[in-house]
Amino acid sequence: MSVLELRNLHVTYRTEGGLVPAVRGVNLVLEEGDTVGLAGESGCGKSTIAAAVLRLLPRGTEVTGAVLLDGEDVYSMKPGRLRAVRWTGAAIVFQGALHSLNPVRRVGQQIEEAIVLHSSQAAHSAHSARSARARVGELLERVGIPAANADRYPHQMSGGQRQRVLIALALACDPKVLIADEPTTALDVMVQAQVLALLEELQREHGLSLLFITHDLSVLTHTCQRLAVMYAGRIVEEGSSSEVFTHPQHPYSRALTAAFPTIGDLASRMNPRGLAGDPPDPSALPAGCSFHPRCAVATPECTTVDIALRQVAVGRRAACVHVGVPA
Amino acid sequence: MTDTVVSLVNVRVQFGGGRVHAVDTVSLEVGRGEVVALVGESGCGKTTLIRSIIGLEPLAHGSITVEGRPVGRGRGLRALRRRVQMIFQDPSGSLNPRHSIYEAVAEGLRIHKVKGHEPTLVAEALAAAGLRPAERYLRRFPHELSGGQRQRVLIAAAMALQPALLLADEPVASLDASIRGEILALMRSYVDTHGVSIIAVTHDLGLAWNIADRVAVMYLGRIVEVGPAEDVLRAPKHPYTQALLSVVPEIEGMEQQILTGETPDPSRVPSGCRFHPRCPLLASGEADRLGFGDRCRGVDPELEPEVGAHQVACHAVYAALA
Repeated sequence: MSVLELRNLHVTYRTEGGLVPAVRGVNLVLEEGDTVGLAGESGCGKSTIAAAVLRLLPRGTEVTGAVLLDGEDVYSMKPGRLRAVRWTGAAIVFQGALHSLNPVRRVGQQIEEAIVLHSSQAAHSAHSARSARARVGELLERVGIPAANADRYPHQMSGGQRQRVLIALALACDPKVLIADEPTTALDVMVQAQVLALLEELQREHGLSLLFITHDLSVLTHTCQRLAVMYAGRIVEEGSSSEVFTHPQHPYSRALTAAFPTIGDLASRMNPRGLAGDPPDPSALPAGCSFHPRCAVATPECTTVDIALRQVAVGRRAACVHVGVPA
Repeated sequence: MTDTVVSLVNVRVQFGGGRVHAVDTVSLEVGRGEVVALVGESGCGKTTLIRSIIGLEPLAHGSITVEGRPVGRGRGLRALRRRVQMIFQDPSGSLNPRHSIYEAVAEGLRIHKVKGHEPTLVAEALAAAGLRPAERYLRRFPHELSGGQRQRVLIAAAMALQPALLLADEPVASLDASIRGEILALMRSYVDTHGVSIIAVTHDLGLAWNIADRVAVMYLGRIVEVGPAEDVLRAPKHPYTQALLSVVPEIEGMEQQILTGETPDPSRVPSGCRFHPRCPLLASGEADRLGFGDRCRGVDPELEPEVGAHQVACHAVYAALA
């Protein structure tokens, strides 16, 4: 059974300006031990998906479809069950390590609190406090921070260390699924490489299932087996990550991958490539294929036909009328 | 000599009463129409270095000249700042939220008393930066634009003054990958049409490959490797440059050398080669086996030519050349 499954997920925000559809019918399956990357530009709905999995969306947001964690629908859980599932079933590592940690509490206390509140064994055993503290030390060492640093406050740590603390925090209750939302975006190249290597190692060792969300496609090809590219609230291409990165089919994935220069490749030397225009406003999506105004190969058909994601090769799906279906 | 736009000679910038050596003896020349990428981790002094070029950081030692005139303090500074413009990483932080796009571009023209019909100059600058038709943007405010469009406004405002040198501090780091290429292409187009020179500070080696003629790699306040972009990026000599390149995810088939530890602290520069505590050659024992390990620990290496314009500050490279 898959550990995480999104079935025809729609998320619509209610704003003063009206309804804003942020996620428009996403199907995604994460098998046990799988690593799946979700890529796309700002505003494509990828972070909304992260928040939707654990019901962290603002009150009043409309959610339809289903989010199944280990086969159980998150949206029909009672509050108590939901609290148990957060951290133990799935945990999230967010981007801004500085904003996700409480600035006036020691990092060790923050991890300990998660353990005591969320893991049922620790909460009920007699020596819970001591074992929780030991576990904090263990977790910190595991992510490469000396256990003695549990006494530090977030501001006494560097950005890379804070990101490691967030990873330790996410691992506190042995979740089955780890959702990493831009976990390395604000970090320096070398520190980014350190954090990615740590995530890969933890994923292998603990058999974690990882949903990795970022705008940086190049990071995903390294870390993830499968890759889903999102545009305007939908997945437009999905497949093995190396295949999608090296042979993208959808015109949007093609433009996005070309935007990452390959050092040494003379085609990109003195030839930066991007994608003209900006992503569409989710509250005023173009008719037909929502990518057509920016698409290099758009035809009149594209302005009217809103094509769904379909199989285009073995293990490969794409949503474009110009991408051939195998005979 | 070729036409040099900016020349830095043994520049040193210190903070904290001389305790912190942010920039430690850096020399660099940038020719007209040349793009130089200054790469390195946070805290390596790259931003401090370009700030010193517009007179924002007093020099503890050395000199900087722009188009032959020394960068000093006081009177000459306004004239200098017309010739040298700067753009920053966060385009929203650099624009006044209550000023229209027209004002954002016109302000510089007024400060520097640029001759000509102001509305025409503003419209031309915006159109050249890819904001077309310009009339559609003039009355808008920064919050009504996307991140990429805001960066275009800042580039338009800077280029409206026809500077000789554009200093760009992480110009695309906060932008989406799809927009990044467009902005870099725009920057490069000004080089080809206006002959502007650019120093781009970045941690993004892909940017260097995309637009730079030369690359200078900084570590702890010092340039440790500099040369033509093709040479430095395809055949890096300094172990630090090699490590930086090895962690770029797009490069296939290169074994990752992830340096441990954080970016070092410029208030405690190690003895000898400042990179030696993190150097893979020392850690693996190779430097000692080949007999130059003691020099790494004790002698501060200087930039020496590897081949022609490609210079490296590394004892291992000297040993190989000897």
